[in-house]
Amino acid sequence: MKWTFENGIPIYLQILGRLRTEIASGAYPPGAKLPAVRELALEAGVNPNTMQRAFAELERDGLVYTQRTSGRFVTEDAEVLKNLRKTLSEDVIEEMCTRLMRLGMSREEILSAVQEWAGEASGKTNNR
Amino acid sequence: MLTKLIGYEMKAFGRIILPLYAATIAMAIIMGVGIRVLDEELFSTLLGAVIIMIFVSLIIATMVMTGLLCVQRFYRNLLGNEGYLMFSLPVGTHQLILAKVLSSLIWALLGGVAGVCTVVAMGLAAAPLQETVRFFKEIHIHLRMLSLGKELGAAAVWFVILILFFVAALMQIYTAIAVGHQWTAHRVLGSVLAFFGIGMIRNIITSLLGQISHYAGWTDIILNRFDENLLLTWQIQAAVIVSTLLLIAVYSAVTWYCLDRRLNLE
Amino acid sequence: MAVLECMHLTKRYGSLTALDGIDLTLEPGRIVGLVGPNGSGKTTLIKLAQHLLTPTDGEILIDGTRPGAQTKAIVSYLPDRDFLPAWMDVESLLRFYEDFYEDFDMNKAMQMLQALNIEPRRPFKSLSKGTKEKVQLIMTMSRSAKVYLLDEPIAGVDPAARDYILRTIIGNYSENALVLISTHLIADVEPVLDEVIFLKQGHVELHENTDALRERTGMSVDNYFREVYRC
Repeated sequence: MKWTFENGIPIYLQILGRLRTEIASGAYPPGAKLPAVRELALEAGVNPNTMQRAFAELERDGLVYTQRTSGRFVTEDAEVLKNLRKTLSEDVIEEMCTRLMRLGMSREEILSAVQEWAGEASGKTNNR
Repeated sequence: MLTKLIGYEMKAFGRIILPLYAATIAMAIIMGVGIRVLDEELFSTLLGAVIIMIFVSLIIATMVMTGLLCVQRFYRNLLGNEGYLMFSLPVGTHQLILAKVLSSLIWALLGGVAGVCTVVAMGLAAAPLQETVRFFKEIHIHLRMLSLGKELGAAAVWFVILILFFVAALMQIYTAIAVGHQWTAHRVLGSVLAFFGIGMIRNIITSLLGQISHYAGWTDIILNRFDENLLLTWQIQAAVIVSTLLLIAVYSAVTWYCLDRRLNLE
Repeated sequence: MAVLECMHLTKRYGSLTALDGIDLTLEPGRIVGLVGPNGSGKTTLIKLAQHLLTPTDGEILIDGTRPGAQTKAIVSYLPDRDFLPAWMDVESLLRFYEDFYEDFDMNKAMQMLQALNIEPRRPFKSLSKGTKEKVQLIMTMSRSAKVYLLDEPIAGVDPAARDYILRTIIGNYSENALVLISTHLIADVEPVLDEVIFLKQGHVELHENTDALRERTGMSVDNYFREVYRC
């Protein structure tokens, strides 16, 4: 997937967000080796120092760990990954709810709308 | 580094000059063959006239081109866009200047060698081998008669002086270009004015020295000695060599100062 | 441990002041953007660093030394114009660099040419503008220098060539080297930069970490300069 960056947000934060999503979604599964800083910087078209900074943040949060000689790996700690998914999904839910409330929907209406959507979505999957 | 710089100049000159040498020698051979076949009648035919014209034009073109390149390689390669390349090399400014002077000198000398080759080629083509060999033997004998003993040494000294004159003339042009380059808005005009300016300054200094020498009475002494044949050739030669070397040193210093301490590439 | 330092650096052309007493300290391991409108002094600064111009006042030091033969051995410079002898073919141009620069990596340069399908035997003058720019960049980046001075490396080339040039700069990153890129196309180079220096009328208006600037202003560096300095 092509890397694009939004204005006004530090690039390292945008990279961090994307990497966290990829770890949470399993695009980088637990225990998987991450690409080298230089390699990923080249792919993203960003400064290697910026990429390095994003990696350092991931490491600080315990999402990746470094093995001195062989590189960086995604954590295999299920608890950490679960928390990550929780934080990320909370962010999405919060954003969605804020926007729906701005449309004038109440909490109950949102809840039932989500349930309805979930029912339709599973129906669609079953039909296939 | 200097040898590398000169090597690169050899290529830059060679790609233009060498084809001219080749063409000139080829024309010399054609002319020689013509002479062998038609003898002196060649020169009265139209074809002969054309061949001679081309031959002479080629010689002139080679000489003009050599002179032009000596100047242009300095002006364009150092002070034009290519100067961004040359002045970015990890070499001293003096090496850049020296490389231009030495390569120009080499090509001036090569011009002489090419001239000899042209004559030899024409001779070989014009006459049977034995005759040519005899001809050159004769020349050799004449030369030996001329250059017996000291005269060979004197010729060598004059040759050195000739080289120094060439270098001095070249350096005067380089200095003029380097000085003219300081005048950012009108570099060519600046260079031309600088060239005449330098000539004028040199004349003023020379006549000033003459005046001083006159009032100090040195001129009379020298003239007297000259009359009495006391002034030896080597003294004149030494004076010429020393003064030319001095001139070259001044030109080099000014050129170096302009290109190193006051360089402003456009 | 600064690798490029300016102290009260001033350059005047007659009555025109191109650089007005600037102070700068740049460290190795950084990719730094030198931005600003035309005539703000970007090229003048780079040429002073390479001793193609002489300062009117103040001083510029490369790795602690005044620019000269010694610093040129550790500075790889890409001028903002066609500076190569057009009659030479690409390979002889590379050999020329190999001859004069000890840090030039001939294999690396040849591989890069091959990857771009550039025929080494082609005369330089027969190449298209974009290809010429690429060859010049390959020559510049195939040196392992301490300082890279790239003057407008992406001006006037198509987006594909621009992308290639920027990726080459990233791929060549070294923590021991400073890369200084002058450009008026901020948006294109923004993600590549650690720091940005904004020059205006011969003054350093701003010298800041790019991400810090984005965080502080809530704008991209490009937008920020457009809004604040109208350029």
